[in-house]
Amino acid sequence: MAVAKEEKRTILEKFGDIDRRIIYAMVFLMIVPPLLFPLNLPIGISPETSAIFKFINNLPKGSIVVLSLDFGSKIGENYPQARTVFAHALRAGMKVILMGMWSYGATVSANFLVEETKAYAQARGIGEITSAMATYGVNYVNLGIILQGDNGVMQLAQVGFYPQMFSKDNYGNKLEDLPFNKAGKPITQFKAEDVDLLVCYAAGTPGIEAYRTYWWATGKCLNLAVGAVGVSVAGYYPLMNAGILIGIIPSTKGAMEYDQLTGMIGASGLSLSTMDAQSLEHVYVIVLLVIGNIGTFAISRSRRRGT
Amino acid sequence: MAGLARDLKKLVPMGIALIVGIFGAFAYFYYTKPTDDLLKNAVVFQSIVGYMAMAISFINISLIHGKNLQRRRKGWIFSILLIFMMFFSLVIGLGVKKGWPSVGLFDWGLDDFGTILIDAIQNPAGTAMFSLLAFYIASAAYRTFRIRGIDSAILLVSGALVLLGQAPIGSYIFGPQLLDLKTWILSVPNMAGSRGITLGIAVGSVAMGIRVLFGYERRPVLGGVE
Repeated sequence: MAVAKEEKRTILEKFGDIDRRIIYAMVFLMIVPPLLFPLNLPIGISPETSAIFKFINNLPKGSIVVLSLDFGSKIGENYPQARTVFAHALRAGMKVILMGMWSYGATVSANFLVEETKAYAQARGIGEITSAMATYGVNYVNLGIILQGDNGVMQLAQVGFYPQMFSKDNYGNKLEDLPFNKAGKPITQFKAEDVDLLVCYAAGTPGIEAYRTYWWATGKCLNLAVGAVGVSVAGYYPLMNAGILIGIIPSTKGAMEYDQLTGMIGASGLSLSTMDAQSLEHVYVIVLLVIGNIGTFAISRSRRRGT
Repeated sequence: MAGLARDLKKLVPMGIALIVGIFGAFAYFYYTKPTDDLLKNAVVFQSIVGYMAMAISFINISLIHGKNLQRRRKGWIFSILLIFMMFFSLVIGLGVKKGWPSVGLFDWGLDDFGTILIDAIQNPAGTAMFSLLAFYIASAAYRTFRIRGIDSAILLVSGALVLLGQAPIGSYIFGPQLLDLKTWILSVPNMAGSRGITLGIAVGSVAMGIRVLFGYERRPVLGGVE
């Protein structure tokens, strides 16, 4: 039986077809060392992130900031973004409403968000946040899930927060019993028009599109921002350039940038070492792209020469 | 008689869709108090219909996976797991109270159980899935991003620049100008392409909406039957 003669390939040609197990092993080697021995690379600030920071700082105290937690996990890219903005908004004297269209984000993550921000502020001795969070329902409320997703967001714009959408908060307190208000206007009379800034932490659909359609396009709330996961960041730039979004927090790097802006390092729950690991992974992917293309070029050249 | 019933079966849903659709569009663009009130009620009604659909889907999943189990179809073991977890989560959800979201109907004190499910299963599983992405994306990028012409070369270079700009090491090596370049790529060329796609989708949606309203597109109202 004839045995297929193994084609002799040069090193450059082998670059075009690296075994995936080697690629995986190298990913592991790129990620683990910086987590153990951080490089502490400085974080550059993107203009789209600082736009949100500046906007909150320029709002008058007592303004209403809504954080719409539209993601499905405590882990990942949106949760750190929400944590750092929540801490900043409370420190800046804003009144924060937590809610969301995704059940996990709006209920479980919102609880973690409150508990971990409280613990962070106490550990760092940040008095503004500790006092803002001392009594629930004064400076922040957790309304829980917006039932029916997009449709619920439409109802918030058309009929307001109370009573169809939220008669109770996430903990079962009646909204009329909460002292939360905007310049004396109780939360039971809130409409989309009363929201000064809405930041949607969008992991997918439903997400910012619902607010864009029913809040922004109808003129009820013109100040929208988004905390975006890495894969969908590019899709939000057209909205920002059209003036629909005031800013974007891109991925975990955006959360770290926001930490840098506020000076509250660790408010997002992320450390610089995680960013170092991400940096090396990105560089590794670029190196892989270069190697792969060198391999492809070498293979096509040898084919052209007929060797 | 049978013919009339068959025609009504087609015409009544299409008629309802036409009337409600035109009314919804009218009430959105032209404000009058009575139409606005009616629209608000219609929106609440839509929520109620949505909940009913959720209940139907619960029954549907139970039936489909119940049959899988009964006939020992391929993967029936996963059907058992799915049915068990679906009902188990329902029981846990109905009994949640205390510090966690008190949306439960009964005070069964199952919130600790729910917390364990989240802390011990959902969060670690979510983290594991996210972590795997780092491995798969590296491998997928290596295999697919090959330069085959000028278009793919431009795509590769701009992708690499955005990738570098999205990590701290990019601005560390190339300075803050890389961040500006990344923002420019995303704001200008990306926006040009994205706007074209978005406008195309919007025009297509309007055309599709008109077809549905006027009965040219029958599948949405007739459940796939022409």
